[in-house]
Parts: sequence; C-alpha cells; structure tokens
Amino acid sequence: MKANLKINGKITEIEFSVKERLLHTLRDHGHKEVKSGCEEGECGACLVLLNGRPVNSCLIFTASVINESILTVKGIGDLHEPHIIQQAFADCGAVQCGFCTPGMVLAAYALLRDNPDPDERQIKTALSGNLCRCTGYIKIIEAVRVAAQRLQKEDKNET
Amino acid sequence: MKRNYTSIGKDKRKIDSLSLATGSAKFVDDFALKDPLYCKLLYSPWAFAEITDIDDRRARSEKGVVDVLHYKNVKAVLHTSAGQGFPEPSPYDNLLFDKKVRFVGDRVAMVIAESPETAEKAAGLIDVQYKVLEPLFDAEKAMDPGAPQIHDSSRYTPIGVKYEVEKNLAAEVELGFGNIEKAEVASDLIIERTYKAHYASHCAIEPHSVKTFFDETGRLVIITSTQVPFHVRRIVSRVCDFPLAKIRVIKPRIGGGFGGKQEVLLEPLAALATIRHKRPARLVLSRPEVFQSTRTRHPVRTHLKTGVKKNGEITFLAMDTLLNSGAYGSHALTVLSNCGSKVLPLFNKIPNMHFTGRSVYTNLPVGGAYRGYGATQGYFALNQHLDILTRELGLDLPEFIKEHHIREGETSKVFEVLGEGKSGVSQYIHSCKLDTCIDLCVKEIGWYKKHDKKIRNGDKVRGVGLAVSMQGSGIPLVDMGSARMKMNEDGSFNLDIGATDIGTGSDTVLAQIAAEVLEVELDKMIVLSSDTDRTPFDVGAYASSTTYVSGRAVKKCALKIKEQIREVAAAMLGTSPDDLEIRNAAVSDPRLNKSVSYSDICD
Repeated sequence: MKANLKINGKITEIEFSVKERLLHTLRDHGHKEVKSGCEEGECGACLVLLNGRPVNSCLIFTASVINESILTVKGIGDLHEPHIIQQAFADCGAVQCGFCTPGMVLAAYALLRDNPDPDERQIKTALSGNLCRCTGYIKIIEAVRVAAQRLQKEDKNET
Repeated sequence: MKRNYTSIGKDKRKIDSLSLATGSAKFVDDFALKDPLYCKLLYSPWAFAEITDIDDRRARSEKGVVDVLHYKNVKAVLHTSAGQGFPEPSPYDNLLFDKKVRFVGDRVAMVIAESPETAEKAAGLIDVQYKVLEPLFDAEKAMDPGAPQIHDSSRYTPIGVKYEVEKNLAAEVELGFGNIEKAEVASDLIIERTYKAHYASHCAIEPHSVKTFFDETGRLVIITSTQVPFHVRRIVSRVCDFPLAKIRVIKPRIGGGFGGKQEVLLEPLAALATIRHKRPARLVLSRPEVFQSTRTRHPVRTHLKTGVKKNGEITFLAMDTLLNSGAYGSHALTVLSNCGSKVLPLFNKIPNMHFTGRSVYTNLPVGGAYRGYGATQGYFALNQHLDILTRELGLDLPEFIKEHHIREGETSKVFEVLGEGKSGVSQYIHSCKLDTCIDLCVKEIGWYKKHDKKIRNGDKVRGVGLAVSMQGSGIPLVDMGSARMKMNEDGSFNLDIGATDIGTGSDTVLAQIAAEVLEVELDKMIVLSSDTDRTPFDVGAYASSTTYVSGRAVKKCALKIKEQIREVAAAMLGTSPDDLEIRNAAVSDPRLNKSVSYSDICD
C-alpha cells in the first residue's frame, strides 16, 4: 500500500506492505538512526516519538500511523546543529557504544518537554524502556540532568 | 616522567559520541548495499542428531530463492570460530555446515534469497531428515565410559595441547606445587565445597551483523560487527578458500561485544554468498537467533578444598574446575586456564596449591569469550568459599583478605606455570590498592553494621556481601598491536590503528595517547581504525588489552614522529635536536629564543 508518512516534519509518500512495522519502514527509507535491537519492544533502541509520545517503532504497524507525526533522533538535531540533549549526552560521557543512544535521547526529549526539571526517579522512570548494555546509566542520568539545566537556562535567556 | 598531562587522564569527549547521539554514525546494518542477497539460517531443533539427508528442492523452487547452502554443497574445512591469535588455542571442531548437529541452535543450512521474507519462508521449506542421537546434557558425566561421543576423531588442536575427543575432553590443565597431602594433615580445619556458575548471554544491543560485497576492483569487502577484524580476514580466507589478499574487513561502529563478537560465526557465510553469486549479501541475526545460536559464558563447576590453621593461616588450596564447553570448544582451553591463572595468584603466599581443570563437550549451547573470561567463574567460587571459611573460623572477611592477598613487589608461582596452552610468564605486581578498595567498600556498604543481618523491607530481604577479584590486561608474548602516523601541513596527524573500538572508546583513548606525546590538542588527531586494508595489524578488542597493548604501539609510534619533528626543527633553526623543547604544537630553542610551529615544519 501507499500512504503519506510525516517523518521529522516532512511529508513523504511511502510504499509499504500491510503487515510492515514502522521500524522497518523507517530504516528502509533512509532513517538508519532508528536502531533495531530486539524487534519485540524490550530494548528501546528503535524508540521514536509518535505525536510526541515515545513508542517502540518495532511494535507499531506502519499502516496505523498514516499522516501522524513521527520524530526520529535526526529530527531534533544533527551533527552540525545538535540538540542540547544530544550535546549533553556527548559532553557527559553518556555515549558508550551508542547503539541505544538515539532511543535514549528521544526518551529524554519527551521527558524534558513535559517535565523541565525532573528528579532522578522521574528520569529513571522515563528511561526505563531503554536498555544500555554497556551499563552507562549513571552518565546517562547525569546527561539528562545537565540537559535539563541547559534547556532551562536557554529558556530564561529567551524570555 | 612527565607530570602535567594535557590529554591523558583528562576529561575528554569521546570523539565519536556526537555522531552517535545524532544518529549519523554507522553500524553494520546502516550501510546501504545495492541489490543485495538476504541470508537466513536454519537451525537444528535437536540437541544431538545426524542429518541423514537434506532435500532443498522445495526451498529452491520458491520464487526469489537464489541458493541453499548445507553440508552437501559447502566444502568441509575444520576450524574454530574463536577469533584468537594464530595458531588458535581452541580445537578445530567447527564446520560451516556439518552432517551432525550438536545443540539446539546448531546450523543446518542457509537460504540465500532476493528478500528477507523469501529467505525466511524458504528456510522452512528445506526437508531435513534427522536421526536423533542420545544427547549429553550433564557435564559431570561427559567423560564417563559409554557417554555419547560428541565429536569424531578428525578434530584436532592446532597447538597440540591435550585433547581427547573420544572422552569429550576439549581441554585439560593441571598445575601444582607443594604437597597437598602433607598440608591436609597439618590443617586444623578443612573446608570443601562446590560452586556452580551458570550460562549467560552477552546481550549486546546490536545483534551480530555482517554485510559483504565485491568492490569495483574485485576485492571482497566484509563490513562486520566484530571485535577481531584481522582474525576475521584470516579465518574467512581459510574457511572460504579465498585469497587473503583479496579480502578487506571493515569494522564500523559496533553496538557492544562483551566477548560475543570475538567469534567468527557469520562472516564466512555471507562471504560465501557473495563469492558464489557475485552479489552483495546481508546476514543479520534476530534477537532469538543471537540467544540460541551464538556464544555464551561457559558454565563452570568449581570444587574448592582449603586447609587452615586456627590462627587463620592457609595451609593449602586445591581447585578442581569443570567447564562445560557446550557443543564446540571455542575458548575451551583459555577460559579454563583463566579460571585458575587469574584467581589463584591473588593468595600468593599459600605454600601448597593444586589446580585441575577440564573442559568437556556437551550437547548444550556453546561457550566463548565473555567479559572476565574465566576469572569471573573462578572468583565466583573463591569469594563464596572465603566467606564460608571465615565464618567457620570466626574471622573477619575483609581483614582476612587483606592479610592474605598479593602485594606490591610480589609475584606468584602460578603466573609462571599457568599460561594459555603453555607455561605462563613471570609477572610482578607493580601497584596494588586492594586494601584501599576494601576499606572504602566496607565503609560505604556499612559492612560491620549490616553483614550477617537480614534487613527486612516489606517482602524484600536485603543484605550485604563482599567479594574481591583481580584481572590482567593482554596475553603476554601473544598479543600485539600497531600504529601508523602521518603529519599534515596544518599540524594535524592521521592516526591509523588496527585496534578495535567496539564502543569501548579506544579510538579516543589511543588518540589521547598520541596527542599527549606530540603535545597537541585531541582534535588534531584524525583516527582511522580497524580496516584491514588501511590500518596496520592488531589482534583486536579482547583481554581488556587495547589501552595497554595497542596504546604502547601508539606511544612508540608518536615518539618516533616526535623525534623526526625534532630533527627537522633543528635543521630549520640551525641548532642541535638535543637543545629543543616541544610544547603546544611547536618546537623551540629556549637559548636562542626561536621556535617553529608544527605547521611550519610540515608546510
């Protein structure tokens, strides 16, 4: 089937099979930043934001998200203009092998949008669907905290 | 020795971290292939069976199926999948496809097709006739007379160590000194216990993945999620009977390894698909396939017998280790050796010691390299043993360990006698801060307040435990790394290293070492690593050795570059190289008050 998908703000007509899952549609259409770790909703490597809500794209039928807003980690910033959260992950040593990082960053993005000043428990809860096998959780939590501070500072500067 | 470091020991950003955080860094499956073939493996549902026939006609008649590989049409080359230095200390007991299957998850066939869906469907259409054999599941019974024999006598070890395939013995190690019998008599108390460490899966978030293709010059390119690119090249060349000089192995970003990718499992299969059909091929495992068919941490049964005197003096220690190697002998000897060699030297003053280790075949999942590499299993046993022993004696565990452990300037006989398949290498402990660690740990966990107490919190009971361990980096006289550097006209440097960053940060660490020696900022180092065509040899990422082994190569290389810089600068300044100082990417003669920058030198 063919339908319009809205990925990172851009609407594209994409062909996909009825049973196809969003993870594969995204990867097959150049969004390699969405990682495939388990394909059963366990690891969070394939996490994207669907209408702003974090979802495991391996558990979503592409056909069920036509015209809905899909955000991948490239949609919030790139190497040349990284998002504050991405920069904080790099600065804090929160990136080890990096395979879980796109999902982690997006989970943090969704958290900080709803809760600009989360405590440690709230950060842990928000990231609980994302596994880091390198076990770099302490640095990841620190990165989210640093990102929260930097985002708040930026907000103040703007107002 | 230098005092004020500017690069090493400093909080530097990992050089690939931003590209990973923004999703632009590439892992194996992120590389695009033009018109690729998709590979799918069929696995054995039986723990032990002989394949009496394979009929692939139904699979081949499926539209989009290009080929089906199995024992009838793939050359049988005995090898080990263990990615170790050559000649490998693991037995040659693997075939790409065998007439016998030896564990649930052993490979039977591989479909090569135009789409992943077709490949998967066709794998289910292969008709396999099995003659199911009596399996062997209990490692304790593996050497019993009449136990099922897992491998036939064609198997061998390339380094000629003890290996008795008729007895399912994949490896054996024995060492000892002193006299255990005499020591037993002289002991006030003898504690004897058995400990079992279980299977574990590495669970790297990135599954095992490989992509292969012929480049525009006809060379076979293998992009693979490996810890050992140079071993991949060697093993693929041998197993696929394809010239090594025509193979290029590239390791991109890797989503974790933990030992699980120190194993050459998929590369020969994808390479065969490309070699046979002259087309790119992709083989990426699903999560269940990773669990079922790749490697694990070896389960180990450890029997410990220790004698002590009332005053706490240890009279002897005897360790008997049985390692369940599973269906193949990957790392069977070396993990076994490490169960003893990394553990026993910790208590180096015990006068009588004995270690017996056996690795045996069973029809269970295959063990392999896994963080800790035997030390984990050995210390698991030893630490519980120490806990029991000190309770029996009414002694304090932390103080007992502090009294007995190896200290700075000391050595252990075990280092000398127990290597990996041969005698070891004498080693002295140059620094040891274990006492500080223990004191800090005891304080932080509240050992004296909490140990031996059950702290109830609702339905949870909490307690504290204390364990110590010791590790080593690198395999002496076996491991090696190398580095090559080039200077650019702006004072930056290319650093080409075979060392394999699998998420460990070694690209950054090695660049820090080079930047430190050459007195430049870290961003002046342009790192290229793990490309068998473009970087010099390195054994790869294992034995926690990259910083020490490859790092030394980088340091040596950078020092040579520095000498050349000094000589050129001396000629430019009309002075002697010995009078020059190098700092902040410039060479100066303090007496003449003259200097030249790196970019001047290379311009």
